[in-house]
Amino acid sequence: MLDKLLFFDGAMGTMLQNKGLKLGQLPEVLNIEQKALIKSIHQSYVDAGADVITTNTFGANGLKFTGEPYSLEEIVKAAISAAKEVKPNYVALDIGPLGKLLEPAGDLSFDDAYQLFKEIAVLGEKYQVDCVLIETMSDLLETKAAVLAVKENTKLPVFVTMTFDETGRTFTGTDPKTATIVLNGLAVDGFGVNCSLGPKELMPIIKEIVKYSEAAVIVQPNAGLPKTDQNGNTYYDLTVEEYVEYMEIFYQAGVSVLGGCCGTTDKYIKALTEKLKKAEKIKRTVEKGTYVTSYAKTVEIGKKIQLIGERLNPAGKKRLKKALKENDLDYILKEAIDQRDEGATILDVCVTLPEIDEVTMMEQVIKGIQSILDIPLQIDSIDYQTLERACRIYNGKPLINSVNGKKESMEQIFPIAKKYGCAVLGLTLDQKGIPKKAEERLAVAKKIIETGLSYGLKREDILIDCLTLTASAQQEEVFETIKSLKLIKELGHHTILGVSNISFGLPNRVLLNTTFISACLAAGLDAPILNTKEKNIMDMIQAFKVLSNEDLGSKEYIEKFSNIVKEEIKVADLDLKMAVIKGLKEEAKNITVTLLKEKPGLKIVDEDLIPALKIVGERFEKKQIFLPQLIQSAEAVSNSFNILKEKLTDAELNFKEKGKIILATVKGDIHDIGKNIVKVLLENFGYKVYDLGRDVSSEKIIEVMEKEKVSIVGLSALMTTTVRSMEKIIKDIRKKNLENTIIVGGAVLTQEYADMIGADYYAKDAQISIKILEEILS
Amino acid sequence: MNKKEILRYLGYKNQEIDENLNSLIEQCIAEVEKIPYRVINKKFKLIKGENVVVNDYLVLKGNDIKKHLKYADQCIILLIALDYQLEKLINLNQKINLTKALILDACASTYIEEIADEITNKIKNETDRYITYRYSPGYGDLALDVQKKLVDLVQGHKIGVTVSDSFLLSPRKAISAIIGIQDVEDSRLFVGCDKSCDCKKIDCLYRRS
Repeated sequence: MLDKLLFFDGAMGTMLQNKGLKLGQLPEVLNIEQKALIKSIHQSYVDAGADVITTNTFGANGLKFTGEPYSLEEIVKAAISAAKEVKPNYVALDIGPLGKLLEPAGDLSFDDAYQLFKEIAVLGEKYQVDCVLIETMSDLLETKAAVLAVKENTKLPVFVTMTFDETGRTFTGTDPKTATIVLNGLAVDGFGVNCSLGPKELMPIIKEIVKYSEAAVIVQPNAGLPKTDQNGNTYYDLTVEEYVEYMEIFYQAGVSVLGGCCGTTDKYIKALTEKLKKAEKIKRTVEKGTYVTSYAKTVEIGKKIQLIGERLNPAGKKRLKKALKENDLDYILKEAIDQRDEGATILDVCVTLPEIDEVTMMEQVIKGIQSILDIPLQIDSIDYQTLERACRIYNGKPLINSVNGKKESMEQIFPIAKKYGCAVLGLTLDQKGIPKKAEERLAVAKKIIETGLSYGLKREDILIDCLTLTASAQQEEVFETIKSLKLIKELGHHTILGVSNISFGLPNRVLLNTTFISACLAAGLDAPILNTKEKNIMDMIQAFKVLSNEDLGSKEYIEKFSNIVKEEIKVADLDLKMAVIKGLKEEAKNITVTLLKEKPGLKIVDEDLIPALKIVGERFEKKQIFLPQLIQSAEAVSNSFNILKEKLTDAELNFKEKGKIILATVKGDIHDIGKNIVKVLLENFGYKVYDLGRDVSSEKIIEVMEKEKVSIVGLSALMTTTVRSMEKIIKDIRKKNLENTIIVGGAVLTQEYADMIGADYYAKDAQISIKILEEILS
Repeated sequence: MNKKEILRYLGYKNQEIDENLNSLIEQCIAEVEKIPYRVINKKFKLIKGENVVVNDYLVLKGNDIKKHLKYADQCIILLIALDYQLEKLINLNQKINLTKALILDACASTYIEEIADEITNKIKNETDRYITYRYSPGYGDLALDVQKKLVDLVQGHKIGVTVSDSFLLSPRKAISAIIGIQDVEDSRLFVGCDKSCDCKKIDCLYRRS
């Protein structure tokens, strides 16, 4: 159906409103109750020359149609038959967004969204539509769930349109280039844009899509920007002539599937088809490149040097191992933020540890990072299940680390990469191990590339890592790696290399690493995997970019180095106690470092931190300071503790531990700042906090109570509606007959309320929770 | 942005604020003011019986909303949302600077209320009739569960607004409100959380003194 230009119909909603449909009524019900009306609208579009008629099923999904008054199947069946009866060339099953927000920002899981889309798609195929139009999407992850649901469960061609606004992005932050690259990977048949803006405003967005889309490009604009009349009704005022004029420009730019959205009627479509029906499809060239993306950012490997942060990998990292074992997501996310701030443009994520459930942890870490950062991720695992799950729920196009030349590895990894449209990193090793010579590594690389291509991967999505060997053990092979880089480069593939191993077992590792990376970059390495905290390495790379003509006019270099003043840590006449009281976070950290030279960590806790916290607490109670000041001080203490933790042994830390408590924002509630404030304060005072996050069920809480033997639970809720959820959790815990003490807090709670729902304590603010805990534990 | 309001959200009671904290607040204001926002406002007819019904679709249950719309025959439904960027910004700062996250949250609450005030004023100036103050689901005995139908009615998806199972709006800083239109002047000047508020929570941090 895509050999020629393809014409879709215009708006359904506008036509229905013109015929008296009121806002708020479910238009899908009309497929059954007023079939003739729906048919007449379809008929007018067929008469106007549209090839494809879209079913009246935009809002038809299992969330809205649960059986009353009609089942989803009844609605979809009626809608399809109304479209088919007017005998168009094709019928497209219309699928709109579900109307709920996906995790982590919302409360709909990826799997639930997938099931809802699957249900609709399967019905579409059952009642014989010709294709599917997934339209008006703004969440890229929801779009991915929809596309996978259609492709995994039907054989129908898939068209996708997303909606962008004045910011040039979708509501959830996706830019057109990123969306196009991700949808390319998912191998849809058509991709483009609809709704939101008028054709004029869509121009820059369409240009981006046309540049990158491997699928046919589809455009269904509104008839101008929405305007509101005196009665508060929306209307669109682009004339038919103006609309056609713009559509012709889009056609010239390479758009080959054309239609309309809000405000367009059969008159618009008629004028459009009259103008372009006989026009030839315009040939366009797609700009190819090696791209990895998040949901809101695309990074191209091969043009500029990209830096892949290596620190989210537990191998050899005691602190990260501990965080993974204790499910301490905060530490992991801080490492992610730090690496981005240090200059990483992609982050490697590996959570492999024998004692944890890797699949679950990987999913949790990816969601966590994607809820705060838009940096693309490199998913690092040797476990196929982990990779499959990670690639499925990842919001964007990830880079898989890694596949290698072994048959089994290629048979497992390439189908995953193909299905989810990922880039993939091939390691030049196979069943015989790592070849010594560069030419042999090239041969393995060729085998990986050929096999990848045979699975349908694109050449530019296969990257090669020709492996770093340790200089202390295999000194004669160091230069073979560098030679391999050149050979791979000649093959036309981009290279990534983990570099830090080079110096293993030798002193002054940074010097060796810096020298090695510099040599590799000169040989054409595109993206080193490295520790971005190493200042020498980062400085060298900045310098390298000048020499390689990447930093044009040495602009970045000059900016970074021209005004360097030697930064001295200012400790001044401040002591730690004062720094905490004043809430000076950086100073607290620096003074702790100095102070550790004078006295042991435990003494600092007892003589400086705890007394300072007491003073701050008193001042807060007396209203001499207010909440932000209390938190600033608490954060200063945390900073100091983080330094101390590196020095204190586990035994000492446990000795300091006063007690254990679970904290959670209850099911249904997503407000967690209050809970996080309580957490910081409690940790300051030496309590071990199991932070279960927000939207937490009683099952989860009970599971942790049992597993970690914790009897004190702190619950937070901010809305009157979620206080009910709090009550349920308290009941569920009490039913279990576990030893328990429950503290509740949150803006809407009162002592009276707390008593009513059966809590043991009501904590009016964070400071009071400290007193309550002291009382419980004394 | 009105700094006094921001401080009220932060529980401020005339304590001394040092330069550090002050500049952090200024920085947060600047960052929040850069966040895009989106608005829907639509006018509907009201039908009054046992309950107030908007456009044959949205049923508003409760005595308080009935009182609020006592003289109104039409209403405007207002939906405002700050972009998701804000949520990401606050989430990010919760991991590295909790003080800043808290202040950002307070700034955003202030900002969206100010946007709402501005739009309300505009509506007031553009009509030759009188309007009531803004009334939101969750006030008095108007239950939050009307959010779903309310957002449906004004097609909230067109500005990216969705409703969770527990009737919270997403993006997190979003407000929905009902403004009555009538021929009688409404003298009640609702400013929220002051002495005239019937709210039972007298120890509330946000209560105006």
